[in-house]
Amino acid sequence: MSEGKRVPVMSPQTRMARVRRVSRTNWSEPPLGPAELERATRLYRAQRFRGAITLSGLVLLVFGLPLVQAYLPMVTSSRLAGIPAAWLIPVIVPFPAMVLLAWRQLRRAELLERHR
Amino acid sequence: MTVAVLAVAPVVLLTLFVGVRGVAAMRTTSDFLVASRQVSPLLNSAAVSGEYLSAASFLGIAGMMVKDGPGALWYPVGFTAGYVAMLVLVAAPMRRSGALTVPDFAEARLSSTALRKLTAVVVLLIAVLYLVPQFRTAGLVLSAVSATPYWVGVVVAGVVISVTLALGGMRAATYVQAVQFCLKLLLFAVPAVWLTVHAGADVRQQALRPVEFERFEERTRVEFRIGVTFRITEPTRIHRPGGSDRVLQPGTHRVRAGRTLVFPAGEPVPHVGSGGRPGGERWRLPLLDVADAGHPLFGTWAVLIATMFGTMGLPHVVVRFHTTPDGAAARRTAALTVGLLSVFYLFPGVYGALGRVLLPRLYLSGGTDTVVVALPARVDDGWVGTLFTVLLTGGAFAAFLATSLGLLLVLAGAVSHDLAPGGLGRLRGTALLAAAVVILLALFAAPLETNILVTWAFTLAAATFCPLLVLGIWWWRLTAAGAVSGVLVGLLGSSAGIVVTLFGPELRGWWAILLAQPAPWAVPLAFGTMVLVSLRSGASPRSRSAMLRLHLDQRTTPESGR
Repeated sequence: MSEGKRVPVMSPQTRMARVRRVSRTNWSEPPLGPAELERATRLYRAQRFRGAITLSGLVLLVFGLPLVQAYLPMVTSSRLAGIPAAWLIPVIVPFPAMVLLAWRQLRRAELLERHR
Repeated sequence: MTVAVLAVAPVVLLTLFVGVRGVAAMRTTSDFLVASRQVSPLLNSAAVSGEYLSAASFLGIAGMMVKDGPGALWYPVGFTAGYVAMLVLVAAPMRRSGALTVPDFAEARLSSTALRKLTAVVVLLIAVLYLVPQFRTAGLVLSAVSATPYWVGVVVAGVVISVTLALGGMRAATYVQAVQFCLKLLLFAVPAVWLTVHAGADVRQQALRPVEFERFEERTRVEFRIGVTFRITEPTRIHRPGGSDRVLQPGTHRVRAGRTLVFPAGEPVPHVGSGGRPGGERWRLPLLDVADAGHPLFGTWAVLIATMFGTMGLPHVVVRFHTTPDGAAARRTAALTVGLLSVFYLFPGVYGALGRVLLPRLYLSGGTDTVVVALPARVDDGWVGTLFTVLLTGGAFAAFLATSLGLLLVLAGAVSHDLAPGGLGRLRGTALLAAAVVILLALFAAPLETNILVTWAFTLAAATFCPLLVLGIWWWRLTAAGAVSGVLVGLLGSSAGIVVTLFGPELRGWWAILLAQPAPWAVPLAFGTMVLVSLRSGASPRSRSAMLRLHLDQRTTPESGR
């Protein structure tokens, strides 16, 4: 028998479960390497910039529309195909716009990760 | 009775069938809580949407529209906007943290056991506040479509979800919720089209030109399922079934739950609350005048802040992102969810507009939440109407089940993964026990308004988990001390507001609105507290790398196995 530390034999599942129990009480993952750290920093900055643009659009849309409802009676008192525009505005404007915003954000975020 | 059985039985059987199928595949805590992270983005987004479209979306929005006017249509906007924000700020980094629950994430990022326990308590609070109204509405809806007592619906819903969950865990929940999303969309959209066509040109015209519900146009029978206080301004004749006619004098009158009153044609409609009658002033201003404070623009913004930021922090929504294989899949899930929700939310307004014309009497009985399931019978009293009642009731029941399933899952997770860690057996036991407790609470919650409890849950999430997640992911200087104090401030601030609204004196103006919807001040306060306390306590150097790790896509990490 060779000398050295004795290692308990266990299945991979058990080992993972044990690791989890340990990592539950402290943040035990090894620190990032320099290359990873640099890439993570670049991604973080790029995604933060990208995200800020999308969020500004979202806030403008979601909080701006009630403003239109409140202060532009011209718009809200008109009718489209007999339906009051005031009822249509919270439905047909924000939903397509949010789908578009989400789709653009998703594509940009994935592009950022592919090219950096 | 038959309607209830026909509507509920298929949904219940389907749920149990899918749940039982999940048993074989479940061996570990990770299986139970996050379906071993093998859920594809499309399936997951259907499950997220299925889980998210609760009784509040399926029934509540149309009901609020009948009561408060088209301003209620802003709720779904906030609900959906939350997912766009989630996509930008939370989805991918959250998944990369490798956590199983929100408290797991808090501890992994900030290495604090105290924070873990605190967040687990908040999860518990949010889940209970959200679950009780689900069960309550299940009871009310079943009693509205058939003659079952209130407790039957509550108990049926509770038993079905706890058994499904205890057997099948997250994997079962995922399939059940995804199937139920398709079911709900179908059962919501098709009846909406049928109702619009079948109601006739006359009703459609009336629906588009609201007039105030001032006098009963026909002899109207109002069944009060919950106790209501109303106010009348001129003498009103009423008739009690099996009793005599009476004239009510001006003033306030209290009607007990379970009573039925008949108002003859031509009598004035009593006022309930201070919000005006359906079709009145509020229908001309499509904004939400929260607490009738007279500040509709601010009220609408307050609701949007609560719903949008709250969605980002709802633990049962956040946990769904942990079931995807990696960060990119979590992001795709969020983006697809925005699309799926947007389709669903095109329809609640149809029910609201028709409900105001055809069933304004629900405003009197406090039963506007049942407008969706009550409409088909009003449009067609033959078998087609009954068929659509059955379909809509089935859809509504699917809504409670899917949402409750997710909530019960995080509840069980918070208790037996975060507060008192145990194995799979304990998780299953906790799911059953938690359901029993919530059923008991819901049995006494019939008089509470769904809206207030759901607002509370959303505001709580917005003022605690939203800042915790956003700052935890994007600001490396966040410390455990900062997070704990911010979560505490958000928890106490938002709860104090709602408790005063529920049990305190009646308030007016700005006070009323700021306490009924505490999000506009509670959310910035929680963010501010976290930032200030964190700056004072100083983050450890490791904190920066812990945060940056969340932004590193898996391509370069060796353990991803790609």
